[in-house]
Amino acid sequence: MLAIQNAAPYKLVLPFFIGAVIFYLFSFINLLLTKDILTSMHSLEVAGSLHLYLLGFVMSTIFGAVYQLISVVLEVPLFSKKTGYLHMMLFFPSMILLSLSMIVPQYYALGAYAGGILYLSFLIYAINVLLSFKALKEWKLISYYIFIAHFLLLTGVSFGIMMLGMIHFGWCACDLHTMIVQHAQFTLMGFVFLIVISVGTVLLPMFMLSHNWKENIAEILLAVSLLSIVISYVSVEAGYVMFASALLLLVWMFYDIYRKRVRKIQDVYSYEMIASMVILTLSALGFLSQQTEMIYFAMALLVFGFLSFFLGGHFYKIIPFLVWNEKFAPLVGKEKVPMLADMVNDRLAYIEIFIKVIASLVVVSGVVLKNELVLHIGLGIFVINALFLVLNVVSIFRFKGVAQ
Amino acid sequence: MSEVVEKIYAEISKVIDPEVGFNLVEMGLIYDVDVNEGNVMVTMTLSTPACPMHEMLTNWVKEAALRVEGMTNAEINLVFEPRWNPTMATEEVKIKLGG
Repeated sequence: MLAIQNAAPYKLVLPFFIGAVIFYLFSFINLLLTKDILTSMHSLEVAGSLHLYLLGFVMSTIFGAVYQLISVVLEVPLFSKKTGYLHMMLFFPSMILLSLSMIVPQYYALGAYAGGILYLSFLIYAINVLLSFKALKEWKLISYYIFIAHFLLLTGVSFGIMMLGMIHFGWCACDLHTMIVQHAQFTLMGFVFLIVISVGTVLLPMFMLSHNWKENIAEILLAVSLLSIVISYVSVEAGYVMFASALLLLVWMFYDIYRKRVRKIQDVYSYEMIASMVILTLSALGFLSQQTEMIYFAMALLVFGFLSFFLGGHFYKIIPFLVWNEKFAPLVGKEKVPMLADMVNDRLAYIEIFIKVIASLVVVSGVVLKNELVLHIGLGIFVINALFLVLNVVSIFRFKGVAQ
Repeated sequence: MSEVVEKIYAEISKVIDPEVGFNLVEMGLIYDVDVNEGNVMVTMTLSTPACPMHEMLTNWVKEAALRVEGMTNAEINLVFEPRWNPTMATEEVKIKLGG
């Protein structure tokens, strides 16, 4: 029997999702308040704002998802739950302080220490996950995905700590730009992208009740994703083409899952996923164009568009599940319990999606047109979008239970 | 189908998958119920092998079987062969899933 007795506890998983929603809001407020983003893309202030978004929203969501799903998809318990809590306690304060040290000049000196602790939290997390593989009985495609992704994460954050050491203590005289590219490539295009695919191969068919989709697309996708990192060392242009191919393969995989779904009813989740895939296609086209402006366009789409739709869409499934599990699971079979969908305020969710589509279009237009005002209007709309998400999450927590 | 097996099916029918909103029996996830002197063996599947709720669902089925008078022990035989597909569900479920 498959049953896993050691699913990660609610108290470990939920804070990452709550953190992700809160930092989704705060990172956009902070970006909105950041001046001259386009003319000072490589400034510490912009880097700090991006870190708040990528660590606070993206990484927090991924950590929560990995802790939630590892026992299910790998059929092994997390190596150490206590270490998971330690990771959480180190991650949130250090992530905030590191971002703050980049955003606020007065806190600059804090960056070295906060970065060190953050690095430690990543080491603890990745090693804890990798040690869970000791109990693995059968290597499946998703096992390879998760295993490789965590090695890429370790490499990516190691570049991050080296950069920090370079900036604060003059550790080495390496080229900062090269280090930034490596850091972004391994963490974002490596770890984040592989985790998104691996989680997608489990959650997309599950929520859409899709069967007999072509799983070999996911196999090719893993190879192409890894090749894109390797090839970029030989030729950046070829690396972009390979990465765009990986994005398009992911869209193809989604299309196959979507086409073969049994559950034809469209809901908030399916709309978010469709939007994320449209954005991914546009992003792939941007990478294929090989023009600098279009690469920025592709990256902005990927980071702010795709990730906000793909991860945001999963909030509407995972957060109600976690809350439902605590409040209503003990009542199953004894009295009428609500469905997960009952816990989501659909009206707020559809408004949120609509606003997010507008926000993504405006932000990307701002980046392409190099227009600071347009970009900031887009960021302002993202703040409104985030507020709707927060409101919905609050209503999920306050849900008292209504019959189906 | 014996009366006691019918009662067990009726109890399991109260277990609803909160994600899709249907009970496990109408979904066609319960393949077999075998009773032998108070011992129940429920052979069942899940709509997807990596279902994060599989531990809960199997526990609920076990609890449901034990709610039937005279049942002292319940075991779950979770199988993925044959793999569940929508044709195993009731017509009502198929219509509702079809949107």
